[in-house]
Amino acid sequence: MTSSKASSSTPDPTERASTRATQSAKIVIAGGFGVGKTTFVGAVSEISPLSTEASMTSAAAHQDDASKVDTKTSTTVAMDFGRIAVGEEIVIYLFGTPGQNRFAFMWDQVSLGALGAVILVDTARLADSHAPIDYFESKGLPFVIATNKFEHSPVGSPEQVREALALAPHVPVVQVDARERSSVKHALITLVEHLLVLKATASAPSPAMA
Amino acid sequence: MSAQPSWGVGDDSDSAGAVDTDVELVRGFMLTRGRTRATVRELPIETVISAPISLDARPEIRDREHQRVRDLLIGPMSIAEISAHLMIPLRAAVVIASEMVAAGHLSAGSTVDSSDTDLLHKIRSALQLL
Repeated sequence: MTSSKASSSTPDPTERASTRATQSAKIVIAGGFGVGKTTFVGAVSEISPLSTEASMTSAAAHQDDASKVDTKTSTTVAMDFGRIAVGEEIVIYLFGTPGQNRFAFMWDQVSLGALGAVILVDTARLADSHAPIDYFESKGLPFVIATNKFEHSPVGSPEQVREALALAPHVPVVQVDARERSSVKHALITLVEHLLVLKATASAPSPAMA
Repeated sequence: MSAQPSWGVGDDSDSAGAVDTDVELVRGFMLTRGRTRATVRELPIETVISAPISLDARPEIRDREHQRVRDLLIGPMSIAEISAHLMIPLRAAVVIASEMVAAGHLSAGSTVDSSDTDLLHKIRSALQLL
């Protein structure tokens, strides 16, 4: 049943006993098919990105009876993720989730309790980012937009991207090269700084964070 | 769509997107004896789980899947990593880990959110040093 790529079953022991930290946080890396999510994660992760399988059962979780899960319509999808240690206390997980609407069943589980999200965008396929933007806005999960560098894609200024995606003025837009560690670092730092700004501006308790 | 079930490591796509569950050899709920939902509070997927270090502190575990999870935990590891390394669906890993923690067989770390400003500063500094 396993493909030749199933190397995750035999983890390198040094990678496996990964961390002494017991506190953890997560950041969601969302985006359309082939936009570079796994590359982005791999550029900063201290482990090779791992893959887990999320399945439709999470969407059907309201039903305790598994027999009621409609297997005809159920889908499974691989979700790749990586890890960054923050000092010895905290470990941050980066979860790459498919951005298309039909994978929305995964988003609740992945985004619940997340610090925030990076939405990776290919400027040639801007429409792919509408679904994750709508979703994170509706959940009040803060996000930044990171346009990944593709040779075939038009290079738009952040302002053009903002306009095309109808983004609120406070949402940061950065350009990244998902293969470059420093570039990915910058995108993540932009997200964390965005969270800090939101905290500072919303020092009065407010349900909407984004 | 590939004829292989997508248990393995994905490439830089969404592993060919959706894969029909008809090709799965073991459905996730079979690993959890039919449950798709933990009977206890479910832990988030990033929760770091650890097993007692002392063998004396390890109670006997009969359930095979529970045993696999504990055997994997030579060090702390998140639920998502447990899922990836044992190649069980994320959903099943959440159910199993949550129940084992509730039963006292494993311990769970805490998860942090963005309400902690000190933590955010710490994360920013750590990212800058990366």
